[in-house]
Amino acid sequence: MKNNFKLFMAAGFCGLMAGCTDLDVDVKSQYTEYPSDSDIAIEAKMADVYYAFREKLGNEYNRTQTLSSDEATGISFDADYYDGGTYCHLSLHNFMPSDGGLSYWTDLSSGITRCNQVINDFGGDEADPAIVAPAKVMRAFYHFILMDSFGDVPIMDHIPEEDEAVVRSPRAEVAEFIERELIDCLPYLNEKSDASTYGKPNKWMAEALLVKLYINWAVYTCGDVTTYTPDMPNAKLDDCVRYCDEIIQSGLFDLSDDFRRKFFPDNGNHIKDFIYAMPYDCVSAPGMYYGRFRTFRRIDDGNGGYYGGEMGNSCAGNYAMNPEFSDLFVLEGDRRNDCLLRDTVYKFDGATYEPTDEVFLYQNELPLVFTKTITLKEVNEQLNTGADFNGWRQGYRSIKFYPDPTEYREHSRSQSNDVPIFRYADILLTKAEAILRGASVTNNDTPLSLFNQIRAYVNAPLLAGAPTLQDILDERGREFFDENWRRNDMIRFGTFESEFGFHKQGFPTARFDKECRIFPVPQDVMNANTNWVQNPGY
Amino acid sequence: MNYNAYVAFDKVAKSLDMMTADELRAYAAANNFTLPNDEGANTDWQKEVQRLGVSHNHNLSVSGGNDKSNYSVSLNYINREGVIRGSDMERFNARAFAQSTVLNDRLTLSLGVNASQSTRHESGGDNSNLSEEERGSQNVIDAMLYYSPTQPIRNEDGSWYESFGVTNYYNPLSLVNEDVMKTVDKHMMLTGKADLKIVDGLTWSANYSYITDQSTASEYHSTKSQYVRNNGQATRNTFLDNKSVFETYANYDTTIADLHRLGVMLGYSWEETNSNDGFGLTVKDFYNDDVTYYNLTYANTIDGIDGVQSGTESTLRMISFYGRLNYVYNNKYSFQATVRRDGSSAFGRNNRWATFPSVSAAWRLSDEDFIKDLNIFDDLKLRVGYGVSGNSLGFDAYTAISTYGVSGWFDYTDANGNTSNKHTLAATNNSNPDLKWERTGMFNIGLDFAFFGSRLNGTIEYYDKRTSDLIYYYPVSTNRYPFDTMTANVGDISNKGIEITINAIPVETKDFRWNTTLNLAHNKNVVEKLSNETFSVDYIATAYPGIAGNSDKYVQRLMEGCPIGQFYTLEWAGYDENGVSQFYVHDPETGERTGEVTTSTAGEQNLTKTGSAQPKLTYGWNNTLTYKNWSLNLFFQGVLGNQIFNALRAQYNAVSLVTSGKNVLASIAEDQRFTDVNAQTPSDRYLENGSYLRLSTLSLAYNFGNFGKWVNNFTLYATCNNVFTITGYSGTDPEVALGGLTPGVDWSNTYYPRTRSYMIGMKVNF
Repeated sequence: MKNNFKLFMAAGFCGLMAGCTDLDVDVKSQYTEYPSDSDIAIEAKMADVYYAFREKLGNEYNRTQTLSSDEATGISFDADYYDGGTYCHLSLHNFMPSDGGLSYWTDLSSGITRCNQVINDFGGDEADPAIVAPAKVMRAFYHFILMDSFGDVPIMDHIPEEDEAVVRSPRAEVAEFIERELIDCLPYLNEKSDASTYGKPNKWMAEALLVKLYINWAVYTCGDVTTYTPDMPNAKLDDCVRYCDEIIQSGLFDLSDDFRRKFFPDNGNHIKDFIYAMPYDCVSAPGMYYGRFRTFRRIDDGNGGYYGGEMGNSCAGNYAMNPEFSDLFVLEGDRRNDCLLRDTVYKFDGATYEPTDEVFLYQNELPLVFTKTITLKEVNEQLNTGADFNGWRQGYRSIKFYPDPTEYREHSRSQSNDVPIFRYADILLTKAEAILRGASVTNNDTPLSLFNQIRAYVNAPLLAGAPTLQDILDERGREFFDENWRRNDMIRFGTFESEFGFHKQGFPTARFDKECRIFPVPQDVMNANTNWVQNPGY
Repeated sequence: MNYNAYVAFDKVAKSLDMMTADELRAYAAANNFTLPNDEGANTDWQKEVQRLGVSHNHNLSVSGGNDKSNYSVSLNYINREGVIRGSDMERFNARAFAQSTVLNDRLTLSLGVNASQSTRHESGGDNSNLSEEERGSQNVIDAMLYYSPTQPIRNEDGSWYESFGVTNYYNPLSLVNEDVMKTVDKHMMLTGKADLKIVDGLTWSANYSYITDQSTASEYHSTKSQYVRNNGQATRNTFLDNKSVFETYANYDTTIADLHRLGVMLGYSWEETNSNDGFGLTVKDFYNDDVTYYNLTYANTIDGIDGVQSGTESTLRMISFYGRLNYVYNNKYSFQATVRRDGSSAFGRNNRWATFPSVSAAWRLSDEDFIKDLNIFDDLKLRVGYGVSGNSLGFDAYTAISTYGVSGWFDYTDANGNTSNKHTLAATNNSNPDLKWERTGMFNIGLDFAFFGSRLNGTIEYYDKRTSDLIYYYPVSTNRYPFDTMTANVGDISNKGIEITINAIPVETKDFRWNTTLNLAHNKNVVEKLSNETFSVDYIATAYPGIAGNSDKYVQRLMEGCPIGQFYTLEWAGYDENGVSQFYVHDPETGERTGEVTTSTAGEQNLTKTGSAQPKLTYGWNNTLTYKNWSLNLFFQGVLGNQIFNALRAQYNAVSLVTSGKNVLASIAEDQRFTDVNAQTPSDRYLENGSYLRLSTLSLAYNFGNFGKWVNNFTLYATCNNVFTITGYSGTDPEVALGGLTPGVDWSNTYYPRTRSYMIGMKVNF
């Protein structure tokens, strides 16, 4: 009895001690491991890696790709929107590691790390290839964007060990890594292209990425970027055509959509031209700001805006189309011409997004007329047109990704227009380009027949004779402007160092060095990786 | 029974000298450009937004008891108007305490309850839905500075003047009236204590406290709001926090042979804090503004799940075992040793427990014969000690655990082809299971002294404090981690210094007495180490002022060998021939000036050390003069030898603000060039000497003494706070935050005007 009592006291004391020293607290408000009870949760975990590029694609990436190409110039208004040079540096090719537009490196490497973590969680090397294939494709895609922008980047196919140094691999090796990964994953990817695969990696997205990789193969594998010339041989042209054919033969894509409608706020999986797009929604998937930079600075100081309603939030309006680029939009009947706002501005209907007869009057008095040439107040790197009515209307503007005024006003400028990344029209023109560069003709598709498919669907005049490479470059300009491929096209065609906009010989701080074909590594990435060396020329 | 009450009047002590409408027009004319939005008005926005704030405070307390029990009850009410229109606060507080000795005077029990409710109103509201660059612009204090004086307050139809062409630009009076927020905070604390005398010299005590807080915020943006354009938007949320503390200890004191006094204490404490447990929602689109936030169901739209908010509840538990031994010999020599074994749930499994010892000794020299013989000192005591303490607060309590949550949305299509929106899942933190206790070791040695019959006494103390395993955010590479910062034990910092306190009664006569206390402190702060085995950086850039057009510029760096608050900026080198600010170029290898200058502000190679935010001397000087029933109190304080980065001045020196339609400081007409796109670039141009001397409090009181047998004591007083400041600093207030890891910055986006207040009050004792 006494022993029992002692035992009881001892047990009680131990229990008390255990309670006294227990520091394990419950985490009540977050998960401590991934929910794996339902298939939806498993797909949810995978889906997290699909949208790592969303935030930057909607703003900074578009800024660097558009302004560094001949599409538009980043102007400022008496230091308003000069912002430390983040826009004008791009237009003059005076890229600097501290430029805000380059901040997408961190997002993409974070996306790659998340892909690797997901692949690890599903079994790493022992994972079922069918399950991890989408994550591997996204990982390859993020490597592609990094490599296309910055040249040599690290090949991250696993999470590095604690003491493992991360080194940059030569661009050619990264290209080969991307090719291998995509080809390995192809058999396991979803072959459908509908609402269930929209915005997610499927077989056709992977093949379109291979097409893009192959057409640029000479650029990516030439070693020193300054040595590339457009007449360098490309060993992968036939492979490029092969994958173009697979996409064309699938029958899942066509050019039946009206060009303008493809880029409206309500675009989505019903657009048959989109092979792979980044979905945006002003509420649940915000971050798309293309309209902000292409809209007249003082649009709300007039008779109710020109998009069909008040914008409610300020617009920057500092991406002014270069006069040389706007010269492409002169084909008669070309539907794509309607995506430019030039000369006198007529108001648009806020419901149909189609133009009306009413002229937009600034301050209810002056009709807004955009000028074709951009006139600077003084010739210096600020690209300053002046902060007045005259200065804000320099240059034509693009309204391709039409901003809905209600969304712009109620959701802090976020738009719902999805941004396409790979389009069927791109595949057709790429096949035409590949054949012109020396690939073998397949399926009786000639460059002319492919080219005219594009001309036909936009109601532009058909070509009579075979297109030249210059025709292809120009047509790509008309078709894909604002879609983040122009810089890539110009480098491949060797025109990135040509004169356009204010990127002219003798203009203060304008650079024509071939090292500018890749951007400098952003400063904070250099700081986090002290063993790296900056890209040459910066 | 005591009754204290005062009435206070608060006024802004110093407004910023922004341009008036005429000054703006003259500036535009002189520089050959047109003001983009001149409406012909002449509004002084600071004057419109600021006002005289009237406050009053009442306190009533009653206490009593006998030798066995006592009690005290107090009630307090304060009503305060802020100097910014639309801001005010009201709080009611009740406190009750009862204590009783029972069981033959062996057991003392006490119970205390403290409850309060406060209601606060302010304008602006939650800004978390705004982008990084927009934050702050909806703050009415920022708006009254940037809004152009050429705009009228209202349009002809009575509605608030509005302009869309300018980015992040909202009418301040519209913000005051159309964007309102009310916060109700309820607080309750319950404390129970028991002390048991077991035998002579041995007591056992236990106490338990329970604290609960609830904060409810209600926010409404009317249909006329200029920055929330949703036709009326209401947000309500409530957060519940609680904290439980239990402590028990036993104390044994004994005296042996009248010479040795020995004391032993052993104790245990347990504490748990649950915080950030809350929820709320945002609804939009109302028919009109009549119900504001009082009926959320009258709204027409909610953004689905994205309109619902939830706090991330977090629990922190701390357990401690401690023991103390003290020994005094002959009242002259004393010695004390303490050891604590602390555990915190915030660290990884292997690092939760740590031991923190400390020892100290004291020698009452004034009891020694050789000091007594000198006949100078009334008291002289030498103290020396060394101790280690730990910190486990100030970061996410779940940093050591991998946590996962929802990260966005994706479209899920089920087997039947129906598509719905579902959440994506991702890790929510970079977890660090190796996170461990932050330790601070402090050595101190001090001398207490008293002369002249204790008319002059004081303390001199030297300390050397070293914090190791400092917990902070390390920038990490996203090649390894999904997020780009990691909370880790980052490094070591040391603080060494001297503190001197002197109390004196320089003048004492029958009717007049002057009491003075002087405090001087000198501290030298150095970041000793910034790397450990896992993480290594050369520096961490801190203090981001967010100056327009300079989104990549930080102004401070944490670096080894430099203090916290080491300013690291560009060096201004005047203007080039085009009137653009230029800066000294530094050699990237040596860091020395090359002699060249450049107008390019990009990159980090031209940054260098330009000053320190740490003061060389901090001082306070309190004086009380009493003459018969009058008493006058003056309290001076100040710092010497620190630099302040005037971010507010930098921001409002941006010439581009004028061309985009906003207002700037009046001084730019003389100090800046219109062509200078680098006018506002953060550089040593905006680094100023922050030394100041301030008369903080001036208080005059008259004690009427007693009035018959009802009133024991009646005192009437008048006080002025922030009477005058002597400083060379050009901002409105040189007293900027000097704590934390980013001291010495006069931020532009959290500017709050410094006020001067006048109080009249009385104290009655019945």
